[in-house]
Amino acid sequence: MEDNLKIHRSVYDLIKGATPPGLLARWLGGVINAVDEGKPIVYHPFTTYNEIMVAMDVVSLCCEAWDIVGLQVDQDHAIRSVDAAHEAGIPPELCSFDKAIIGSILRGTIPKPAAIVQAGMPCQNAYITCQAAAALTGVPLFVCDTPYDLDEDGALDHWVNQYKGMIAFVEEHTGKKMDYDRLKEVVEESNRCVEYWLEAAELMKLKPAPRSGPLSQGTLAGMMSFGTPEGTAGMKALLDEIKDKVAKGETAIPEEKARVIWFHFQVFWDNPLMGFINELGATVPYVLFDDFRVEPVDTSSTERMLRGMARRALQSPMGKVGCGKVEILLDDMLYAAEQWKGDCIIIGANPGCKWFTGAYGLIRDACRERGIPLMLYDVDLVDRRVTSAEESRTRVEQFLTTVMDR
Amino acid sequence: MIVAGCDVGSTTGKAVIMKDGEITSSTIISCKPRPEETARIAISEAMEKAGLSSMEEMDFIVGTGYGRMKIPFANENISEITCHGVGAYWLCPSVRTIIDIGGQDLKVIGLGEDGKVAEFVMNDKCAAGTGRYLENQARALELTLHELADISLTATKDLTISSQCSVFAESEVITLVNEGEELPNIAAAIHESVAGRVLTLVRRVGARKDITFAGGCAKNAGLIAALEKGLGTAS
Amino acid sequence: MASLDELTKSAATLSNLHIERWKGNGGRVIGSYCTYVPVEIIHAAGMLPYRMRATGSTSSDLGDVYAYRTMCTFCRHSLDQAMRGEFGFLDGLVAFYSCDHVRRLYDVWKFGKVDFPRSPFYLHFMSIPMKSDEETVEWLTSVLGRFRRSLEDHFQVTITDDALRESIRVYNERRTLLGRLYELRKADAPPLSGTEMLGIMIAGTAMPAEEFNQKLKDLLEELKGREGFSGYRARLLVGGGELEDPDYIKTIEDLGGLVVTDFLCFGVRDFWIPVEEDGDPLRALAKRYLERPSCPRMIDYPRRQEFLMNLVKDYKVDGVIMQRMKYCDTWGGEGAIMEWDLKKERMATPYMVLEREYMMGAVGQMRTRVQAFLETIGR
Repeated sequence: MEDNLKIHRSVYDLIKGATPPGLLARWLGGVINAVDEGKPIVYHPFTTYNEIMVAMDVVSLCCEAWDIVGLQVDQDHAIRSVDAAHEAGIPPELCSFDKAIIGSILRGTIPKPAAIVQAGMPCQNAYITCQAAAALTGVPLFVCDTPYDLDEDGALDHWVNQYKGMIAFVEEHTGKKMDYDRLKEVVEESNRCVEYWLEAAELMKLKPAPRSGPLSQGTLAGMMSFGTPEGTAGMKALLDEIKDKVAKGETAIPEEKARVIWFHFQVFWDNPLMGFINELGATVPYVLFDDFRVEPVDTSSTERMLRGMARRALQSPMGKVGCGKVEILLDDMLYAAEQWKGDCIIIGANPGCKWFTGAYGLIRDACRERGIPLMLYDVDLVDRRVTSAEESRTRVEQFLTTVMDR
Repeated sequence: MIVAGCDVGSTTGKAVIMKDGEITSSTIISCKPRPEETARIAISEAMEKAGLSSMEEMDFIVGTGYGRMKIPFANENISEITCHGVGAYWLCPSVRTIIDIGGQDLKVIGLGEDGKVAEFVMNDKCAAGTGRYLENQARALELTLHELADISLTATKDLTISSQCSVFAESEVITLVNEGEELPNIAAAIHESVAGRVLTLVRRVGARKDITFAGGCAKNAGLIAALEKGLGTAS
Repeated sequence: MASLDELTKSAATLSNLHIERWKGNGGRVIGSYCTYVPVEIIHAAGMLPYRMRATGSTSSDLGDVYAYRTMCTFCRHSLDQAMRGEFGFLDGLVAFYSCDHVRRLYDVWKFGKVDFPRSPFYLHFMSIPMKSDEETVEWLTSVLGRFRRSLEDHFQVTITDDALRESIRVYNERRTLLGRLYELRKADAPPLSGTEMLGIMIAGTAMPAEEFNQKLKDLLEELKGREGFSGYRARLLVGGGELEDPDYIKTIEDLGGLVVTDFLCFGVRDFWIPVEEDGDPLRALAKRYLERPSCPRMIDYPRRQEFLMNLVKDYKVDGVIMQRMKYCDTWGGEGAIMEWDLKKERMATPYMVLEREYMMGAVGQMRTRVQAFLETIGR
C-alpha cells in the first residue's frame, strides 16, 4: 500500500509546506494521514457534497478527485487503472472515470474505505461503480435513492429521508456521531464558498471575459472538502483575482473573437487545451461544472438545513443534469449560451457517458432551432488514447474557424 | 490407427493426418469461396502426401475452425478453442496459456493442470489486435507483412499509436509517416499496439506460464518481440 | 401442441392477432420498456399492457438520427421502428429510469421525434426507486398513485381498488401458471426447450392476460403427453438484459446446450414472486415490484447473486451464459462483478459473458464461443 500511494504522497509532499495550507493539501493530507494511522475512510461520489463527513470529522474520499490528482502528475495513472478494469472484465464502453476507480481499487492505488456512500446518483455507471467497489473491498454500501424529478410531489421529503439514512449509516460504520451544531458551522462555511463561487461565475458573464477556463477551485472544493475554511479561502482568492482583473480592465485575451460554452467537464488530462482555445482567439467563460446555481442552505433549523443540503446536492450540475429528465440538460445549455453570451457550444464528452451522448440528437435540434453553432465530439476525460491531444485540437480549431468566420 | 484433423479458418484451410500418434502429413491452403471445397482440397492434399487414397482409410476425422460445421467428411466437429488447447498441451504439457491470433480473431485460452480448457476470451467484432489489422497497416506503409515484421526489429525509438480503433490507428500511422518518423520505429509501434490489445486479454485469463503463441500471426517476429516485451519474457 | 404453436407465433411479430382483435374492439394498448412497470394498473384501467420490443427491425438508420452510436442496439432499433410508425397500435407509453439508454429513448419520444400513432398520445414517466426497503416501498406507493391518476385523467377512466385487486388476482394466476411451467423444466428431460419458453414469455407481454392464462392452462395439459428433451450436453441458464429473439436461444440449443432456466426480463424477472392480495393494492404492488428478482438497475447485487445461485442449484445448471448487448452499462458491470465472484470460487459453476448486438450478426463467432464453453463444461 505504501508504495501504491506514492504518486499521491509525492503530490502531498510538494504542497504541504504552503501557508496557509491549500484545499488540496488539507484533503490529501487528511486522507494520507488516515491511511497511515488506520482511521476509517468513507468513499463518496462528487455529487454527495461532503459537509456531512466534514462535520462528523470522518475522512472522506471522492474517488474521481483521487484519480484526477493522480492524472496531474502522471498522465498514465488513470490509464493503468482503466486497463486494470478492462483486464478484470469491465467492458471498454463504460465511463472511464468509473473504470479508473474500479481499476484503482484493483491495483490498490486508492486507499481502502471503511464504508461507501452514494447520493445524488448522476448516471448508471456510478451505480455500477459503487456496487463493484463494495464487491471488491467487501465494505458496506449505502445508496440514497435519488428521485428522478425533484418537483414531483413528495420527492424532496423522500430524498431528505435518504440523506438522514446516510447520516445514520456513516455513524454506524465509523463510530463517529453527528454534531448538528458543528454541521451548522460547516454548512455556513459552504454557503460562503458557494456565494463566492456564484459571484465569480457571474463575473465570467462579462464580455470580453476577464478569465477563461474552468473555475476549478470550486469544483475542487465540491469534490474534496466543501465547508472547510481552506475551500472557502481558495474560492475567495479566485474571486478576488477576477474582481481585480475586472477593476483594472484586464481581459483573458487581448481580442475575444468568440466565446465558447464548454458544456461538459474539462478534459482532465489535457489542461493546455483551454490555452489552445485562447490562442485561437476564443475564450471559455463557461464550463459545465462551474454552473453551480443553487440557493443558500437555510441553517435556521436542523430539518431545514438537511432539506437545503439535500436539495443542493440535486441542484449541482452533474446532479441535476445527470439525474433528471433531458429538459433540465437542454434548459441549462441554452441558459448558459444566453447568460454567458456564448457564440458556440462545444461538448466533448466521454463516449461512455450515455446519459449525455443519449441526448445528442435533442441537443443538436435545440441548438439548430436557435442558430447556435454546436460541436459534439468524443474525447475521453481521463484516457488520452481515445482521442489524442492533436486530434482534439484539430477538431476544435476547425470548428472555431467556422464560428469566427461567421 | 490413422486420424485426421481439418481446420477451415477465415483465411486458410489446414489438414493434418496422424498415424499412431505421429504426424504423417500436413497441408495449408488459401480459403476457397465455399468451406466444403476448402476442406476437401486440404484433406486431399494431405492424403496425397501421406499416401492415402481413400477417406475410408482414416479411422476418425475432426473438423474445426469457422467452417467446422460445413466439413462433410468429419466424424465430429470441435471448436477451435478446444482444439488449440488439446493440441498445445499435447505438444508441450507445461503450457497454461495460449495466445491465438488469426486473420480475424484473437483468442486467449487458459488451460487447467489437466490440460483442459479452463477459460477463454475472444476479441469482439472489431479488427484491432488481429492479423487483418496488421495487413491493413502494412498496406498503408506499402510493405508486405513480412517486411513490416522484419523492419520492426531494427527500431531505435519508442513511438506510440494511441488509438484503439483500427481505422483511426491507420490515420495515426500516416501522420507519423508525414512527420518523418522512421519506418522501423513506426512498424514497431504498430506491433506494440497489437500486443497491447492482446495483453489485456492475456491478463484477463491470468497470464500463467508457460505461454504459447499460435495462429498465423505467430509467424510474425515483430509481434513475438512486442509480446515478449510486454509479458516480460524476452530473453 | 396447438397452444405452444399459437403462443410462439404471437411472439414472432411486433403486433399479432390478439392485439389486432383487441384494437378492433376499441381497446387501448399502453407500452412500457421494462418489467418494473406494474402492468396490473394498466390492466385495471381496462387497457392492454404491451412490453416494447424491436422484433422484425432490420436497420437502425432512422433511429440513429437521434440515438448516438454508443446507445445499445435494442434502443436504436426500437427507436427506428417508432420513427417509422411501426407502433400504430399504441395509445400510450410509460417509462422510468430503467437505464441511461432507455430514459433518453423516452426523451426522444417525449420530444415528438417519433411517428405518434394518435393524438393526444399518453406519455408518463415514473420515479421507480433503485433500492428496496420500507421507505422506498412507501415512496413507490405514492409514485404508483400518481401513475394511476394520470391514466385516469388522460383517458377519462376510473381505476377502482376493486379493479386493481382483480387485476392482481389475474396476474398472480399468470405467475402461478408460469411457475408450474418452470417447475417442469427442473426435470432431467424437460418437456420445454429454452427457445420455446422465451417465445411463450414474449407472447405473454403482447396479448390480454386472461387469454394468456387460458393458453398456459391448455399448454400445461398438452405438455403432459410430450416426451422431454434429453441427450443434451449441458443444462444452461441464460441471463442478462433485453433478449427477445428465441433464435438466439435456438443457436445455443442447436449446439447441444439445453436452456433449463434463465435470469432474463422475458423470464424469471418478469413473473417471480406474487403480489399480496390483502391490504392496499398499490402498496402491495409497490412491495412486489421492489422485492422481485432484481435487474442490475437496482443497487442490491448481493441479493441478485444469491437468487442466481439458487436457480443454479434448483435447476441443476451446468453452466451460466450471461448475454449482454454491446454498450449495455448495467449488464457490463454486472457480468464482471459476477465473474469476480466466480473466480473467488463462491460459485463453482462455469460461467461466460457473451456479447451481442440486437440483430444476430456474427453467428459464427457466437457458435465458436458457445461450443467451446460447452466443451469446457466437459459433459
